[in-house]
Parts: sequence; C-alpha cells; structure tokens
Amino acid sequence: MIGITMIPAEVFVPKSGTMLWLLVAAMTAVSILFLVILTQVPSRYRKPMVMAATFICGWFYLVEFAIPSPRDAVTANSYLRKAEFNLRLAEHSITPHYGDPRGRVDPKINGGAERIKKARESVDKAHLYLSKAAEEIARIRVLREKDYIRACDEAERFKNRYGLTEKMIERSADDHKIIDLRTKALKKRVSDLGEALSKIKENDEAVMSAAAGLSDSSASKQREARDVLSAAADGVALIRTSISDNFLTKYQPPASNILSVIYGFSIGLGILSLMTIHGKNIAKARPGYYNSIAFYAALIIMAVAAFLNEYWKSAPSFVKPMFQEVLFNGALTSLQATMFSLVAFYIVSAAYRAFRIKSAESALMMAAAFIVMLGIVPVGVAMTSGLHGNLSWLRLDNIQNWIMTVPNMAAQRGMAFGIGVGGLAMALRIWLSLERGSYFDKQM
Amino acid sequence: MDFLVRLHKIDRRVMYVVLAAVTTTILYTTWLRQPIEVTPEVRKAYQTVEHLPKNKIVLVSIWWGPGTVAENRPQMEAIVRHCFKRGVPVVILPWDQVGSNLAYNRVEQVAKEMGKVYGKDWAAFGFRPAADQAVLGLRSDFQGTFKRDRFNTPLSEIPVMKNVKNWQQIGAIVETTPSGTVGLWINFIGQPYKIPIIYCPTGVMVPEGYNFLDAGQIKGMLPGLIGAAKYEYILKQPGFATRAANALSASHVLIILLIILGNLGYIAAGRRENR
Repeated sequence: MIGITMIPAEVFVPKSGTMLWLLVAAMTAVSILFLVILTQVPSRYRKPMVMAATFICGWFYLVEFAIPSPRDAVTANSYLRKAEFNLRLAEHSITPHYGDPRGRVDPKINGGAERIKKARESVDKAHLYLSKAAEEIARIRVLREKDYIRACDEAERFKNRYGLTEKMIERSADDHKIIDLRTKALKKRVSDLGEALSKIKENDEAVMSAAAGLSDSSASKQREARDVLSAAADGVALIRTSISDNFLTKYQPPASNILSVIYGFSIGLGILSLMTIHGKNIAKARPGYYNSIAFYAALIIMAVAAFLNEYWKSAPSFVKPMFQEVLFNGALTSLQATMFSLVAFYIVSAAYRAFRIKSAESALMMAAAFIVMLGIVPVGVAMTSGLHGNLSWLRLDNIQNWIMTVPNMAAQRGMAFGIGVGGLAMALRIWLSLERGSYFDKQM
Repeated sequence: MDFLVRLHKIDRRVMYVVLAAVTTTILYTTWLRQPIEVTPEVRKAYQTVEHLPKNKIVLVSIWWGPGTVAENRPQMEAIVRHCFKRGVPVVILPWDQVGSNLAYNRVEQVAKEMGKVYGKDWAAFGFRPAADQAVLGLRSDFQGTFKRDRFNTPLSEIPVMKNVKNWQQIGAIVETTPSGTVGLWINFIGQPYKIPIIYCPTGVMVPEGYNFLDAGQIKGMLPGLIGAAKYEYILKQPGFATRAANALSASHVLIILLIILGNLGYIAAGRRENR
C-alpha cells in the first residue's frame, strides 16, 4: 500500500512569521476551549472521556512494547539472543571470584581449568549462533531487496499517474508529509539488515580474537578477553534492537510530544495552585501568612528578573549581572547550599542518639555501620592495610565491599522488586482509571 | 560513673561545634596524606573512559545544584579531566537551573587549565526541563531536541556538535546526580543502545547503585565524594576530593566516637537505674 498526502507540509508546520503566531494563538484558544469544555461537561460524561483517553494512551505503549519484532526477524533474533547469552556466560566464567589470586582465574585452583573450559565452549557456541544469524539476515535481506525494487516501480507508476512533481515531493520531504511509506520503510529495512550483517561480522571477529586469548591465564589477558566479550555481547544486543523496531515505534516521538504538552499544563497548574493557597493565607491573615508574602515576593522577583534578563535588550550594563550575581548566585545558590549543609550536623546528632545497643539486631546494625563508615574512607583503609595474603579478606575495605555488594545488594533488590510490583499495580490502577484523583470526587 | 552517665546526654550544640571544627581544620590541612584504595566500581569507570572512542561525545548529565555541589562537582571534574586528557569531546547537559551555571563555570576553568577550546573540545547546554522527553528525543534527533547551546548558538555552528545526529554519536553518559535519576538513562539509552553509563551519585544513593553495576546496566560508579577522590588518585591529579576525603575520614571517625561514647553513657545510666 502506498500512502501519499497531497497538501504541502508548510500549511501545517509554519517555521516562522505570521503563520507561526497565528498557529500559537489558535492552539492556545483550542487549549482553553478544551479545558472549558472539560470542566463544563457533567461528571458522568467526563469520567468516561478521561478513562478512554488514558486507556488509549496506555494501550499504545503496551502494544508497541508487546509487538516483539518484524516477522522476518524472529529467527535471526532468536539466534542473536542465544549468542548474547553465551557471550555473557563466557565473560562470567572467566571473571575472578573472591579467593582468586591477583584478579585472575588460575587454572590450578578454585576449579579454574573447568571455568576456562566452560568459557571456551560458550564462545564456540556464540560463534556458531552468530554465523546462523548472519545467514538468516542475509536471506531476509535478499527478500526485502526484491520487495523494495517492486515497491519502487509501483511508486513511480503512481507518481506518473497523478502527475506529482519532484518539487512537490522535495518541499514536504522534511516533514514526511509526502512520502512513499512502503518504499521508504523497505529501503530502511534493507539498510538496517545490511548494517546488522556487517556488525555481526565485526563482533564475531572480536569474539574469535577473545577466544584465542582465553588460553593465556595472565590477569591482563583475561581482563582484555572479558572486555572484548562484554563489548561483543552489548554489540549483539544492539543488533537485535536495530532489526526489531516494529511499525508503532516510529510513532513514539509524536506521543512524547503530546506528553510534553501535558507536562507544560501541569507546571502551570502547579503554580496556579500554589498562588491560590498562599493568596488565601494572605487574604485571611492566617498564622504564618508572612511566609506566603515571601513566596509571592520570591516568585514575582525571580520571574520578572528572568524575563528582563532575556528580553530587556537596552538594559544598563550593570543591571543584567546584578540579576545573575545577586538573585541567582548570591541568594538562591547560597540558600540551597546552606539548607543541605545543615543535614551533616543533623546526621551527627541523630547517629549519636539513635545508635544505641538495645538488642542483638541493633548491635548488628551498628557493627555493619562502623565497618562501612570506616571501610569506605582512607582512614579505615590505613587501619588494616597491613593485612596481606590469607588475611587480606579481614581488611576493612574488603569487608565493606562485601557488605555493599552482597547483603546490601540482596536487600536492595528485594526492595526494588517490591517497589516494582507496587509500581505496576499503581500503573494499572491509573491506566484503568481506578485511582481516586483530585479531579474526580470519588473512586470510579 | 557520673562522668559516663553524662556522656549519654551530650548537648547537640557541642557536637555541632566539634564537627565544624574537625572538618574545617582537616579540610585546610594540605600536608595530610592517607592511603586510597581504588575499588572495582571506580576502576571500571576509569577503564570505560579510557576506552571511549575520540569521535563520539561524552554527555555529562548534571542533576545537582548547590546542595550537593561538594560531592557531585568533584566527580564531574575528575571525569571531565580524564576525557580532556584523552581528547574525548565533552558535552555538559544540565537539568538543574543553578547546577547549570556551577557546572559550566567549573568545566570552563578546567578547560582553560588544560588548553581546551569551547566549541571544539567541549560544549554546554543551558538548563533544560522535562528530562525524560529530552532523553527520548535525543535518541533519534539530537539536533532537533536541543537545537542551541547555552549561548544560543545553533548546534550546526558548533564544531563538536554539528555531527551529533542521534544516539550513535554518543560515546558514554556520565550521570552526576543526588537522586535516583539514573534509571532514565538506563531505560532509554543504556539498555536499548548499549551506550555505557557512568553513575556518579551522592553518598546516600550509593547502596542502590550496586544493583545496576552488578546487572551491567552501568559500567562504572564513583560512589560519592570518596569515589571522586579515588578517581583523582588513578588520574594522579589530587584535587579537592582528595583533601575532602581526609575531612570525610575525620567526620566518620568523630561520628563513631560519639556513638561509642553515647553507648557507654547508655550502659552506665542503665546500670545506675538497676541499682
């Protein structure tokens, strides 16, 4: 199918001049009208409207995410995924553990020979899958090239039939208003597949060079091999991404633009809400109303100064630096720095009062805190730097590193999963408009 | 015994004065040197910068402001120095209004010291709101998303920026931040396009950074001020972070001493009550 729009793009997207200002004014009017209509619509109609809009937006992102890849790339993707997995496995196999001397996998201890052997096997498998992926991509590339040639012929016939000139096409090409969608998409597909092929070749060569280095058990060679395998795995993952864009992916930027507009509204709404609350405080002379006066003063002064700084072209030379130096660097910067610096003093006071050994758990927590606090700073490193060889694991910095990378990480991951599941539930509630909001008076 | 019991209730103002005195004194004691042990996460960050291609830019994302300038600025400075040393172009991308100026001023100083020219070796944007939209946009259309630098110069006229069209011209992301913003880069840049991310959080955000590091979602990390000191150590260019690390050591030791004293007082007070 060939999609062509006849109206020049400039009509829709003016870049400057009167048309631009007319567009801005029209859009502002439409926005205000939209808000007015939305607030005037009875609640029973408003809710389904908002629900439908929210649902459609969420549905778009869900479908875009759920469609895995173009059908022609499924087999190649599967080979690439297997290759990536094996590359990561190989990298992991030659990563030294605690107890491996001098940061290397020694074939003589800790099952090092077995780990190196496993790395070699994984690299061989990755090489095999990369070769299969390359064959598959080459095959589908030939098919897409044939499709592209056919589509070009069809497009040419269409242009001749309706008398479209090159100028008409050129004029709107930037904004993609007059395009031959199918031809363009096929051309991109052929180019993407070609790039993917050359990238596979590059990564495969890198993998084979790393495989040759696996027989060397020196720390530097092993590090080099790990770096190459890691980079190759990343590269393979990237190839998967490059051939997996689906037909909805290209609509993500416009969807993002809509989000930006909504964000803009939310900032305006926030300022409006703050002004209303503080305005009421001042009008009714509520306790602490002078803080509200300070809010208004700060808001107005900073806003006016920023606008004048930008647009007052004929300002005296001392005025603009004054805005910058006095208000921004002088007041705002110092206030922010002061606020945060106070935290250090509160931490000392709070730690002194809170860390009391009242139970076994609190003792354990205090011990962990001492080790981490000392192990992370130079003085802690100095205290135990004399421990070498078999006793090196007792060094504070090593124990601190273990606490951070093992128990801490386990706890953090547990929390992250919990938060993730909670976030998912929350997202579903918002998406399905089940959430109680300030816009609605009760739960829907 | 009375003395021990009194340790249970040290006036907080005393603690404040002692903390201020200790940190200030140590901060300005230039002769003090302590051993610095470079940890794997910092070494990985160094290795990542060391292997960056010179024809791609490093985006230094600035989320910090004056509140965390003491931690985040040395991190940024250490990495920018390394990039300049290697000849890798640096682009400053601020998401904080005040941090924008602070970062630009510091990088400008470093650039002057190292003989780097604005526009040719580095560039900087002004404050930019709606970070998530900008990050989404820069992936496919960098020039269209940012358009002009902080001096309103079109990107097409800045040598270091004119060829940056999309994610393919980005060599690495350096995220200097006091909060949990690294997820934005991981989700939209790091994972889909495998662009290395170096995470530079403040001390309080460090524990959660190890998750990303272990999962390979970030390629290196400078944990707080001490991370910057370790980076300066590898670079062999001790700066503010190295001096501040001594002050940090002293404040940690002071906190530990106060906790020990507080517990001694707590135990003594408990014994007295039991009698």
